[in-house]
Amino acid sequence: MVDEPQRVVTPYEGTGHQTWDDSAHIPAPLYLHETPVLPRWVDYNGHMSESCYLLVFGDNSDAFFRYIGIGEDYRERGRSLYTVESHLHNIREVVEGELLRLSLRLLDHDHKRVHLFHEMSNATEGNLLATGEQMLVHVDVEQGRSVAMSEDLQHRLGSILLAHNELAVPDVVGRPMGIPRNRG
Amino acid sequence: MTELAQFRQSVRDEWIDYNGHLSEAYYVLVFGYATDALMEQIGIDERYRERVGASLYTVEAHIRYLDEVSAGAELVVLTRIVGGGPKKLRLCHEMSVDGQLVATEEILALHVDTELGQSSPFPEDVADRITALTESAPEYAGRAIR
Repeated sequence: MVDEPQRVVTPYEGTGHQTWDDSAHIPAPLYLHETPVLPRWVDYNGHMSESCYLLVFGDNSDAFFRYIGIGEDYRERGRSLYTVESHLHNIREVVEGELLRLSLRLLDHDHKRVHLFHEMSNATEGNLLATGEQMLVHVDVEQGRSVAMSEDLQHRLGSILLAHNELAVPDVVGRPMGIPRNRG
Repeated sequence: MTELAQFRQSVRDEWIDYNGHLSEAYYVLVFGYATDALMEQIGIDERYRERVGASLYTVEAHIRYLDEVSAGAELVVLTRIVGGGPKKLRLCHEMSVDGQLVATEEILALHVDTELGQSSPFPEDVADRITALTESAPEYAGRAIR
């Protein structure tokens, strides 16, 4: 990661958020983000660095926030979603210039927590490159503690969950890490 | 108990996100530096990577963010080897600021022959060093996201 700007900027920063339409079809999963692997993301081997997989998942989350109505104006009111846990699986190495396609599915939510699952695939061949399971918490930024999301936001997440519950749960979800003893 | 050196890194301004805190991916960047430091201590340094043509590749990582971190904070990472196999290494990193735990990362890494692009066993001396340094896993390790 070189030639970074003076602060972390997502590709969607400053673009505001979408207006929620209750009658609109909700794709399952959501495809909200695509990006080529940028030169500053690759290491000396020409492969994308480990931390940049999470950077890309973070940009996918930002696209999702804007889809449900969380943009700059929302954060200016002192509310935000913070990641509290991430579980990443790196399946295949990724090279500079490769076009990445991200899917996002809502696994669960309650009044202040959002449980997400990202899949990163090669946009041309469609093969799976990495997955990311994340738990996010809605916080009052000033007070640094969790607070309930608005009824609106909870309603939108409820609609998305209903649509995404149609999908089969990926087998890596909710699984702890470990070394199987029957293999090398 | 651990014989491994602590890794230190100050938080750079360009790692701060729109919330004014260390951005999630950069915790992993710093944990990655700590993994590099550990690799050197068990004998997988740059010379080894050139000579043997093998390196460690993270196949799985579980990060828990416990507290916000501000620009300029001094991060200290304590690394433990908590398990392994002929080709695998399981690590736990604990990141602190002023003695306060701010994040943990559990990693499962594979020893990979970079030419062949497939896993390969650790050489004996590295495997012995791993065995000698292996400690019991902390209570947060081996858990799923709940």
